[in-house]
Amino acid sequence: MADRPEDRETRSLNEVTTGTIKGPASLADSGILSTDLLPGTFVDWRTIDPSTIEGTNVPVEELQTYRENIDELLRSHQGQYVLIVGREIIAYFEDFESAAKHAEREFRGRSLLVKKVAQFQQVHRIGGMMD
Amino acid sequence: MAIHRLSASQPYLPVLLIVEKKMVEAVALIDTGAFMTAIRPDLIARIGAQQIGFELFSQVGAAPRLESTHYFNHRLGLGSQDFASQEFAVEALSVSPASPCDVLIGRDLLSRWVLAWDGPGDRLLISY
Repeated sequence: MADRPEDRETRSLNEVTTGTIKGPASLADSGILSTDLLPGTFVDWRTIDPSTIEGTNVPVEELQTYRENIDELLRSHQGQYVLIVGREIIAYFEDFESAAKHAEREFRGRSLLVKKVAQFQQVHRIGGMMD
Repeated sequence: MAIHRLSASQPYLPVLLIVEKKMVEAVALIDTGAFMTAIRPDLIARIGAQQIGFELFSQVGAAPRLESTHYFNHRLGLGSQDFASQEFAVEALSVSPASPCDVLIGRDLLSRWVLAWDGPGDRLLISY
């Protein structure tokens, strides 16, 4: 088996994942992620229950729709960008800009989700941020 | 291809953030260590950028967090109130940079540019 960093992280995450999150700051507490993250860490969206995410403006319905449809999305639209509004998958796009422009034009002000269809989502490392 | 010549001695760059017909001038820092571009939450609220996502990010020594992302168009500042004509669509995290600036330009945007840093010559060349 290939010993790529993403494979190692994926195995590790799958082994410890519980599927619940208590809040945006408690991912590590839930066991979904390690605190000593290395660049290139990935998380499987199947393991995150959006209804347990605390915080404002969380697109819970859209994230739930993405999670529930991820296997079908991966089969037919991997690498594309999906636009989800509420429980409805609106459209697929080849690039981010097309998806974002369509979302802004047609659904401005509404809760929505533009997401690249991928099995594993990268955890974005950003150093110079305020707490 | 556009090539812009800027000073390398100043850490910050002017940028223009655009949401539909609204435009806001902001101060940006190029951060090659940031995976993703980030913008101050109060600036996002002021310009009314559409929320389009919710992404995981982590900081050194801190637990990973989920935070909203917003859709912007971005134009590079070239001098006193002069901005490049080409726009770049950006998905930006809503978090405050620790540096005294409004925007961290991350590798999502940098991956579309060519940068040449000439320290002794005080030149930063950005082309795309």
